[in-house]
Amino acid sequence: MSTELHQFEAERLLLKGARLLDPATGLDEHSDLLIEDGMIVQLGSGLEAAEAEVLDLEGLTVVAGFVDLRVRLGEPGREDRETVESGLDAAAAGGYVAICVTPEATPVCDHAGAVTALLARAEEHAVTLLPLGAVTAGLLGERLADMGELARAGVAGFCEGNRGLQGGAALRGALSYSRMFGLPLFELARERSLAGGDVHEGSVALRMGLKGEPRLAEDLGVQLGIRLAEFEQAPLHLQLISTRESVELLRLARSRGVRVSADCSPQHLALTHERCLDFDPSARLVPPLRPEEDRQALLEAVAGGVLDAICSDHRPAEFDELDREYPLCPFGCASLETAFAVAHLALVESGICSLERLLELFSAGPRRVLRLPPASFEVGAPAELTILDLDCAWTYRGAEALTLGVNSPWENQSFRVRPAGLVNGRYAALRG
Amino acid sequence: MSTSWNDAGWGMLCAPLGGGEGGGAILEPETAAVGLRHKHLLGLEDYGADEITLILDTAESFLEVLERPIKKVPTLRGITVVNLFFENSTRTRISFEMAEKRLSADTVNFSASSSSTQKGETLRDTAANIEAMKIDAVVMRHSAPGACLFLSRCLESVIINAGDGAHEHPTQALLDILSLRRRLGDLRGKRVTLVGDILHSRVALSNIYGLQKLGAHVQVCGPAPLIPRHIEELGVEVYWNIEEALENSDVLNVLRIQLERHNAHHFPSLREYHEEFGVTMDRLDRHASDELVILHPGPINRGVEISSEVADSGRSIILEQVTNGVAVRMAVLYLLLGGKTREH
Repeated sequence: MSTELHQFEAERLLLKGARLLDPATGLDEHSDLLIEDGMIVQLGSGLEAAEAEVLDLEGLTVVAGFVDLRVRLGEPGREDRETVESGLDAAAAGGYVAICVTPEATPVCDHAGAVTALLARAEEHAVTLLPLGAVTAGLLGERLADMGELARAGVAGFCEGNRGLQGGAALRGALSYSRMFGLPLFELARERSLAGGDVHEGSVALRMGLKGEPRLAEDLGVQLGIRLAEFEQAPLHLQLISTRESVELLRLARSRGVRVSADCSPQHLALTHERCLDFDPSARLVPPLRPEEDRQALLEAVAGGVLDAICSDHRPAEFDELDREYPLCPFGCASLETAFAVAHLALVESGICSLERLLELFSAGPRRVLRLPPASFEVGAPAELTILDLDCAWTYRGAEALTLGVNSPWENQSFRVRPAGLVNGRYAALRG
Repeated sequence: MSTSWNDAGWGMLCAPLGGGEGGGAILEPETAAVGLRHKHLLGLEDYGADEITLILDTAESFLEVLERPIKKVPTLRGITVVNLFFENSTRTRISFEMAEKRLSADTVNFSASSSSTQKGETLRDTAANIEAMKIDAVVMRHSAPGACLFLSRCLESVIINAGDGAHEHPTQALLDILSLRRRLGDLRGKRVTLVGDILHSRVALSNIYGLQKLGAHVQVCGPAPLIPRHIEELGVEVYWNIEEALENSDVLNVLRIQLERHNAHHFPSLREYHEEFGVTMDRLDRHASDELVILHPGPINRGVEISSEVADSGRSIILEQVTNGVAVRMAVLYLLLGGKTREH
């Protein structure tokens, strides 16, 4: 049995009986919502509309649409891991109205044709695909990609994927050049000469006999990124923050007014490196899962506003490539469908922050990074809404999931909240 | 012949080949009835002190068998063991093969470099194909930490770890411990120092786990870049000075320095290594107690980590380790597979 997703397009869409919740305006009421041609046209109780598609959302909560800043798909090149269609379906099940897709494909998304093809593949889907262009041609780190061409073709930003930029000169050039196009530069900052372990360098790596990656690799990378952003007066978005020290560096940078934003993954908010001890490849992440003290610092940073967004960091893998010796397995996990539930578990259910703050981290925060206005419930605004079930009991099972990726660290884990669907302009998707 | 546990198991354990009524039975069946709680030997991290002691006690009785003119017993007759070696190993592979043959098991050897399997067949497929030929156990050496655990999840066979990357090498630790127990008796409170490359060593972790469980105090000594930063969390004391380590040790387990594994960030040269950490007679005379015992898992780099004079001296029990290695592996094979002959 798999998750069923009903997707449709409608000229007029009437949402009935939901709780509308928008922390940005203080909106929190039960109200109907009428959408025409993708725009919000009316709020109120007891709305009726002729020839409208009616969604009965009794018991559900509608919030500003979720945006994911880091998703890897398999298409083109590794359609066995994830196709555009399966990835967008999984994103819909995760409640996302839009996902940023990293350029790590074959061929690499470093030219206009790749962007156009990707956008065409996603055209008919309820979820918007936001392609990220490669920073360097072929992700080889040798010369800058044709960023102007990529910008005109419609990328939402630039990103070097898990490889990241190699050293200060490369990052400086990328920061300086990309700012001309008004698009964000995403970077997974690491000092490469110290990076490259299977797990976090610590007692767990020691007990597993594996090479560890020290915190220092990230700390120095984050420090370099912050200093370069400050020096070049160019904005930089740092992805997948995972250490106590890099949180501290970000806090200081923000207080100095440096234009640096940052995100982290739900995995790093919920798990620590002890999770790796059974050699389960779905917990082998980049950056590696860290000790509890780092996780605590991350939770605090997310709650306190040092981090701007939570991204799923969805990296699907297929069965055969995981059915191998641990060091040969690919890094990452399939996480689109669990991201919100996991973050809710780690942050809201544990009392670290409010639901309202969590919603910002999934919507207003990532939209700010992408330089998009916040999604709103105001009449005249485009309908970009996520529908949540905040009171359900469900269990994640890979066999029922919409992603093709089988590498979830959450197999058989039970959760209390779950996205139920989304409205994105004229499109809607609802879990059956 | 009856098929009771005594006859099929303990009678056969030490009976000379060709039968004979309980010919050389030296163990009481009750001792062994404890048994191992594990199906496999993947490492010593989760083996209990009682299980380790059982293996050592069983090995002692096999040592007696190895002293006989006919060194073969029919204990594992009909059992098939595959030695699956994805990394070069002479000593360990021969020792396992010898142990299997002494127990009358059928053995098959498979050697391949990990790179050749990367080109094509996966580890699971290689192993599953071999298992499909109806085998009982796999002894595996592999470069990837966790590879034996992975295999134990794929196969029905009993898995014995003969070294998985820098993770564990349990039979090496067991033979080190057996050699020490035979020389020193009770190991409680004994200070055992591992010298050399701890970072890349598969012997270190297994030794630390095994020795600590038997009450010994484990210390490590070597160039700082070759000592994992978090090793103290395992309750291990660290020395950067070999002479200080010697002054505080009852046992030195000298690990082989493999220059091919290192780069210039670990230590500058073999010459410098010998100057700083080499175990020489002069150093022993000046800093060690007369009773200090020296182990080395081999192969030895004479003149690098240990001088010939020391390696060949009365302090060294390196060759005893090799003999004990066969007995320990016989014990492990017997304890993990002996039950299978009972089922037959």
